[in-house]
Amino acid sequence: MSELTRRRFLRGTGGLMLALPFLESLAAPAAAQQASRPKRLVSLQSAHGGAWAADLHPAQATLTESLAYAGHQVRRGQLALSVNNGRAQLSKILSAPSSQLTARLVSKMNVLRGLGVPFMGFHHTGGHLGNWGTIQGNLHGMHHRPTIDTVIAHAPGFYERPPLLHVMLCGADEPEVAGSSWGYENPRRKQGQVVRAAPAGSSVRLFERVYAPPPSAVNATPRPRRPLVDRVLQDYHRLRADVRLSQRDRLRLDAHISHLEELEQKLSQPRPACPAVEVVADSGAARLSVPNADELRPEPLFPGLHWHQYLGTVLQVMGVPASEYVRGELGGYGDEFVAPGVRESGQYAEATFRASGGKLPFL
Amino acid sequence: MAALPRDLRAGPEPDYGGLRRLDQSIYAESVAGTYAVAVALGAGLSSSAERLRALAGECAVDTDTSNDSACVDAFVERLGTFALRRPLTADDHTSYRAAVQDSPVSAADYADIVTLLVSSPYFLYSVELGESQSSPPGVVALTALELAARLALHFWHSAPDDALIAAADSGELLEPEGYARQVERVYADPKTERMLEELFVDWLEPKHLDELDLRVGSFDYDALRGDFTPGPELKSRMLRELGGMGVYYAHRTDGTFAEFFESRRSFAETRDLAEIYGVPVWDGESEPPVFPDPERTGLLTRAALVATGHGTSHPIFKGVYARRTVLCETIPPPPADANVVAMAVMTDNVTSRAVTEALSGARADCAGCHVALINPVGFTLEHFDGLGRFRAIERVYDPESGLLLVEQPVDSKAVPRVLPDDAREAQGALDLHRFMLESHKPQVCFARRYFRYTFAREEDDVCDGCVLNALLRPLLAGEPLSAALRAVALQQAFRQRSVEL
Repeated sequence: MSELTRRRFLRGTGGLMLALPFLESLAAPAAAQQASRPKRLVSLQSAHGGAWAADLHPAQATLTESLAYAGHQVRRGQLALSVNNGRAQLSKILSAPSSQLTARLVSKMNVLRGLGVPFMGFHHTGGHLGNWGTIQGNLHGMHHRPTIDTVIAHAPGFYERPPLLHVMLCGADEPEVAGSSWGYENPRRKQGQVVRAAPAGSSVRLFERVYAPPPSAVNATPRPRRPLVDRVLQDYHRLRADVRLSQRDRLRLDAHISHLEELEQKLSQPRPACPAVEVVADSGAARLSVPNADELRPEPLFPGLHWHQYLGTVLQVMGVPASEYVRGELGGYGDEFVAPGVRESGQYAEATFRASGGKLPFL
Repeated sequence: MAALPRDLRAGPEPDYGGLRRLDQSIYAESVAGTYAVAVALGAGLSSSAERLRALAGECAVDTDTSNDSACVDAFVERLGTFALRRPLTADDHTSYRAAVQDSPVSAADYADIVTLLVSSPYFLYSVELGESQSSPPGVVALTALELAARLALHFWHSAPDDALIAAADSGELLEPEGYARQVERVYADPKTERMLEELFVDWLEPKHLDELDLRVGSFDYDALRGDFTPGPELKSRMLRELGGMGVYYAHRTDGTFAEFFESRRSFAETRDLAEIYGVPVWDGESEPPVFPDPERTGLLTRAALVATGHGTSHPIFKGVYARRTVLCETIPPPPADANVVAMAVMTDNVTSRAVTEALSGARADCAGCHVALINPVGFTLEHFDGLGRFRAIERVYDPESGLLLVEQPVDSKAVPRVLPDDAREAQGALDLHRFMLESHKPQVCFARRYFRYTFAREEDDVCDGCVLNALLRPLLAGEPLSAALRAVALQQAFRQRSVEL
């Protein structure tokens, strides 16, 4: 076995953490489904050892119970929220103002750890989450496989139906290119090619996915209409019945149909009343400002400002009221942090959001 | 449209010649997004009487309800034929007509029809079922309308125009001479230029190029740039020049691949980029200006491909880029801990070439690729600084103070080994491009990229061999690029599809 260098170790152990609101979803999926509020599955990963596991996860001491399962000892414990000087934290990174990270919110959270693959990780393009087909160079020609986050998102043991929002917040170098989340084109039936999940792309888009339908789809609608998805579905089934279609084409249509069925399900659920949401273009006022890379490299790698931007997004996803925040799509380490400039298309896609009406609708 | 996920560069190596058209993934977001767009489009087009009149005619807004049914029928037929790129069958008509509620027909009913048609698989996908008879076995000819749609998609990324539809309806498209006429016409259309521009930018966009204004304010970069202040648009203008260059040689002139590849002309249409080149701004119409520096010869000396946005010139990035993107070579990944060792030998007071040699030679497992394959190619492009400007002298500045540390004449001599057994020394970029052309690797690489781009899938060397050869032969024979691109569409294989037996 080759020497395990510190950096290789860090790469291999790059953290993956899944935050699953609604604790009851673990204990009793059926009961959890009865809850009327949308469920959120948020995956975070730290790239390139950008955060130590000890900073990312709650303390080991909180894992007070254990259970033997499939040859492993699975440990669990109650999340312990500490508050100090107006700042609440579950871990150094899972930290936020105590007005946002409240005990009520924490009571609805699950934080899962130990889901990443701690070996053969290399660069974080999905291999560390189980898709070894993305390992840089892929010299062994391994096929793409769904990553653990998408497996969980579509696992009936967690959700009888897929969560209404599954967001992967990744710290890969370029989320647009190196998104780590992979899944079947047709995840419900586990069919089709395994493809890279669509990344949020920009913080504006992520925000709109969470809080508001595309403005054009809402504002231009003259009056409420019954969704037409069922008729669209009929159209797809009509084409699918054509015997001249190839097997590959049929699989692609099946994937499309599956997503349409999911969309129909979502549209049929009552949508929570959403306060007016104003998406403000990057004002520049709250841009990240990182002095230089050298300040980030010394160990322990910082769990500071950038990760709090992450958490800000997570909290927003979970419905914590906030008046204004910024988020950044974070790079890993080193050169990416050098520049204070911000580009919507770059690693530091940012925007400032303002949610009027205070409380957002998902709690 | 913001609801739609952006296409990602895809392909065997997405960062090196990856193409957005190859991203054919079906995401939940793309399905929901296309539906949202269809709903918005329907609602928007019917949101006022004026719009509705323009959409469906006077009968859609008058007070006479007796003509409502006929009005809807006509609308479904008209929009359906356009959206589905073929005449509607009775089944189609019934299906899309069924969205309409009982008379009186409202604006929302028309909106629903738009939504259904724009959400239809026949609109969103390129459905090619072919003629019913299969001859030879395993292959079916496309119908005339399918062929029209494929031709328009291939060269325009759009739907067929009226002339193509008419040629399909009349049977002209299924006759060899008539088809060739349509290929000529479609290729000559300005819409083809948009496709070509996107192709060349997608293919050639270098991942390592940062925004050129990102490091303004840092000592060494400011010292390097002097009075030239790059703006936030400079990078996109550099990339756009690659597209403009491709369009010029492949569409506006009868340029050959070699002329494109060894070009010494500037296609800079903005003052900042022209200043980097030291040429007048090109007006986009007249003959493009010629570079004043002889070293600026060839594709790889374009500003987008030599600039770095840093104080240094990064020969390694350029070498990797050239081999992977322009020669379609595969380079094994670096050792996982390469950076740790590399940092230990980094120094700021020597030239980029000297730093590169020190980094690459520090470990035997790095030297294998770097010394033989990567670095030499980068070294031949050393006559350009971090902004892409020609330099005869390399000046290295202190990142902490901006003070000049080193000043040395550029050494661009190297043995690039474009082919493994080619030990010729290149004096610089001019020789590099000549060696590459002689190897035929860039031509083969371009042929593969073009195939992937226009067919939206990766090539199969066996099954797609005829099309690839049809493309490659004119490229190697020195025929115009435009002839090579048209040759693909003239292949019999282009007019048919395979079927499962």
